[in-house]
Order: sequence, then C-alpha cells, then structure tokens
Amino acid sequence: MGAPVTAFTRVSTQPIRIHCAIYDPDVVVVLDPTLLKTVPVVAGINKEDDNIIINSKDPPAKVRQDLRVTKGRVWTVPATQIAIETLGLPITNTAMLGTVARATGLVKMESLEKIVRERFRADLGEKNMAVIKRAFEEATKE
Amino acid sequence: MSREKTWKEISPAGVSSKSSIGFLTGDWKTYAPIRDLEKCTLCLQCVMFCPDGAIRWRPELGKIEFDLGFCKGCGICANECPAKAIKMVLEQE
Amino acid sequence: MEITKMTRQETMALSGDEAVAYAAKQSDVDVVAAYPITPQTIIVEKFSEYVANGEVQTEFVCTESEHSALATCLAASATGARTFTASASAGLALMHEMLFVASGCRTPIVMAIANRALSAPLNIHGDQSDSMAERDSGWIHLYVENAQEAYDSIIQAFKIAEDTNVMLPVIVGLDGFTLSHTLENVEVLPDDIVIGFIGKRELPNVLTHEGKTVPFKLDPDNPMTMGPIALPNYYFEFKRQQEEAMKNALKLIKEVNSEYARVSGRSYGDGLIECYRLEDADVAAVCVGSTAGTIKATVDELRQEGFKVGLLRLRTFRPLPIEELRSALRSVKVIGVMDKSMSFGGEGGAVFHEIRHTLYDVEKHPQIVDYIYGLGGRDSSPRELRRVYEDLLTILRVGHAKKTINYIGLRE
Repeated sequence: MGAPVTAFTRVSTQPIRIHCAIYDPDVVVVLDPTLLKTVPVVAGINKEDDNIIINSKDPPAKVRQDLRVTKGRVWTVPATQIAIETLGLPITNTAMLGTVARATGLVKMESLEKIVRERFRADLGEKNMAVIKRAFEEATKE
Repeated sequence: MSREKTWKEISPAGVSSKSSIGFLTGDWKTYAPIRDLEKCTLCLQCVMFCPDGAIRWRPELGKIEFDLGFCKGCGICANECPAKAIKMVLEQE
Repeated sequence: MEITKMTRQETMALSGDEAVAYAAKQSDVDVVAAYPITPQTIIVEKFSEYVANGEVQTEFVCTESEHSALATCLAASATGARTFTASASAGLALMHEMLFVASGCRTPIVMAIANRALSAPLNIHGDQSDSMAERDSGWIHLYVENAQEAYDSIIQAFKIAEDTNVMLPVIVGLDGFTLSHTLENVEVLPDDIVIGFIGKRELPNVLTHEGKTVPFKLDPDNPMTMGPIALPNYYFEFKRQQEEAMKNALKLIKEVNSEYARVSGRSYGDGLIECYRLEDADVAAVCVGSTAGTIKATVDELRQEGFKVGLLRLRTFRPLPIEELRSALRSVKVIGVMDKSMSFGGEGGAVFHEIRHTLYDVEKHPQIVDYIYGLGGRDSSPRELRRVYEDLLTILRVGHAKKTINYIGLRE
C-alpha cells in the first residue's frame, strides 16, 4: 500500500512539548500487513497493556506468533476488506481508527463521528462512519 | 537484518549498495494487473505507458512480460489498454 | 487600531504547514508566488485552496522554479504589495541569488522555510542546513519550536518586515516533518484582530531622479529605479544601511513580541531568546527549533534529580541578539550548543560559531562545546539528549572538555 512510512502520535491532557520519535509505544498500529515482514513493528513493546493493532485477515493469535511478541494485547481487523466493501477503495485509515477506539478507549464514537462528518462531505462521511463502526465491531483480540 | 554501516564503511556520495533492481517495490501494490491473453493484440501500449518499466516487450519470445516484482498497481495499463485486456484485481496476500 | 484586551481565540488542530498557511491567509497578503517542495508543499497547497475558494484576495502565481518565485515576490513587493512565499532545502538554495537582491532592495517579503536537509545524497527530512546556509543573505531569521509559534511568528513577521526602520525580508523556519507535518493544537486569532495587529504597509518617502519625494514603491506615475548599479564608491554605504536596519530589528522584534502578547496572551521569551530554567543553571544547552521542546522535558527531569541545568532557545538567529545572549548566559559555566547543520571544514556548526563569537568578549569564559545532531532528519532520543547534559556536567566537574565537536547518534 505505497511506500513504507512511520508516523508518531502523542495524546495527552497536558501540553506536549517533546518532538522526537516514540521509542516506548503504548499502541502500535499497522495499516499494511506486508510491513510485518520487513519492519520491526513491535520494537519497544514491553508492557502487558500495550496494544498491537494490525490490519490483517489472520486471527490475533497467529499474528502474535508471526511477530514473536510476548507482551501486549494483539488485535487484528480485516481493514482492507472492510474498506473495499464499504468505501470501494483500499484506504484503511478510518477502519484502523475504529479499531484503535475499540482497543484503547482513547476516543468516544461520538467524538469520532463529529470529526468524520466535518472532515468528509455527506455520502463520504456516511461511508467512513460505516467503516469505523464495522472495524470497531469486527476487531478481535486474543 | 544486518547492522547499519558506520561512516567509515560507506561509499562516498551515497553510491548505492544495490541498484533499483534490488528494491522490490512490487509489494507496495494492493491491486495487480491480470491479463486476458485472448483479448491482447500486442499493441504495446501497456509497455509504453507503464511508469515503472515493469511491463516489457520481449520480441525474441513474442511476449509481453509483466514484472509484478516492480508493478505498483497504479492501473494505468488497464486504463490505457485499447482492447480492455487488463483488469486490476485485489491482490491476495 | 489600538488593541489592548485579550481576544477570544479558536483552537484548531493544524500541522505546522497548515498553521503557516492559515496565518498567511489572515494577513491580507496581496501576492503569493511559490513552487512546491517537500516538506513545504502543504503550505502552498492549502493557500491555493483558500485562493480557489475566494477566502483571500491574493494573486497566486505558480512559477517555474523557486528562483522565479522569489523574483516575482520581490517585484510585487517593490510595487508596495504584501507578499508571502515558502520553500525548503534545494528550493531555498535555488533562490540564493535572489535572497540578496530582496534584502538589498529592502522588500519586506515573508517566507516560511520548512527546514530540510540539502542534497547530496538526497534527503527530504528535517535539518537546518538550508536556512543556515543563507544566514549572510540579509534576511531576518526566526526559528519556531511548535505549530503555535509558527502561526504567531508568520503574523509577527509581516509587522517586523514592513516597519519603516527595518524593511527587510523575514524567514520563519520550522523543522521539516517534525513541525511541518505534525498536527498540534493551535489557537488562532480572529481575522480582524490579525489585520489590525499587522496594520497597513507603510512606505517611507524617497527622493527620485525626477526630483520628487514620493513613497518608496515602483509606480509609473512616479518612476524610480531600485537596486541599480552601485559602483565601488557607493555599494559599501548601501550595505552599511542594511546592517543598520538589522540593528533596528533587534529592538523591534522585542516590541512586536510584547504587543502580540497583549493581543493573544502568548509571547516567546523576549522575542529574541527564550530562557528555560536558566537563571541559576551551571550548565545549559543552546538550541534552535523544535528539539528545544524535547530538551525542556530533559531539563525538568534533571532538575528533579537535583542538577542545576537549563536551556536557552535561540528564536531570532538574525539579527544575532548578542547582548541578550551574553546577559542570559552570564553565569553558565558550561554550554552545549546544538547544531542541526554543519559548516564543512569550519569545525562545528553555525550556531556554535556564533555563540563562541558572542561570548568571546565576556570576562568569564564558559566552556563551549558543540553537539551536531539530527542531520537528514535523524531523530535524537530523550536518552541521547540527556547524555548531552551528562557530558556538560562532567565537563563542569573535570574543568575542561575532552572533545569540542560531538556528533549525536552518529555511527562511528
């Protein structure tokens, strides 16, 4: 799904001053499963309640095995499939967002809905919300 | 993964350790081109339009070769084919 | 327009680039001539959206190169128009010739630079080589720590540039990707407050070849030539005049910072430098740009452990605030200068050279060492930044530095 890219997000109730990469993530989200073979996506996962969220058709147990990771909770969601079926395009961002909401509880569905409908006009907003809701429901953890 | 080199070990001016042939960008794609050879007229439009040079005309074999190791699934070939002989299909992992 | 009370502001989620574009949108810019280059592209894309939607009354010119972009801005600015552009890396380098023409012609162009490494080898990521290489060009240089400051500084930049005692173009530098592409909370002022703050561009009067005293702008009714040939008997005097404008800018940047604080509630040190826990610090880092934010967290951690450490963030690099630097660093015994660029063959980076120069004439010489970091967008972890301070504390204890020039995270 395009050139490999790593992005970092920090969420806090306090002002965030630091601008460096994240070495000790609480959440890792992988939008493209082909990256699992080439990028050390779980480097830095070291806590039991870290969340590892992968776009994959495989069940979480299998992904955990493939990644050889012992810590953290592994979640998988068939985001590409959901996106193609609902949006008609293999753009998995909103599906993964739905899964992050489910796994971490960091953001409420109402908040997501408000932003998605602001960001995407009428029918696209409808479709993206459908994607988010499906991903929220269909994500599984082991 | 092999360790990254120190500044003393690398070539000057960033001379590549491998050419672009060594970077298989084909795994970037989501959709892959599938050809219907019955419809193909060997017009070579796909060969000329492919931005990656991943479609090659092999005159000695009388064949057009699609190199999926470099095809990024942009779909230009399918779009340009006058015979509609190419379809973009979701790549199964 | 007298603005004396704090105004109601809206919080938006903007990346550094978007914050810059939004500030430019509100600043009543007459002409934008630009060329895209990573990581500045979002600035010009966003601005062109504003133009297409009719949200601004700006003439948007897509030029064939950055050199032409600046030439266009320069020409427009010379007619009295307010102009804005943006670039980075090779684009800024391509403008090099025109940078000197713009400052020499005293055109108050504001340019955002999404600081990026220069080729070769090719690298699209953030470091400060691009604008550090232009520090002699006669432009004012402001460097920001976050998206909020990027927004605030673009607005301030127009006011600073256009002041008739300055009339110099301004570069506002924001670290590529780290700031340009990172979404942060940005409080934005209402449109009318921004316009009121910047005001209308005032022009001084000049005496033209027709013997008329008219406003300093290209005008068919009052023709004049700007920047024509100046032979050895005059060129020097024009350059000295530019230097005087730089000196005036030192005072003005502080004033604009205070005035902006009254309107927005935000200020950045005194506008020239920002001191963080520096008053009783034994050792300190001097930093330009976004890494200062990460270093503040490191300072807090070390202070918790009882170490007297601090940070000086250099916001205005040109004109160099020598008096303010000397005053702020007067009781610091060991200084680690952070350089996100190199001056090849010059032993150290630009900021290091200038800090040493600044402190040469003070009575008590501190130890000053250089830390070159982050070239080509290489990340410096909090761990590595803490080690800078551990180094400085060691130098304090031992009494001298083993190495003057250090490289953070370089594989040796």
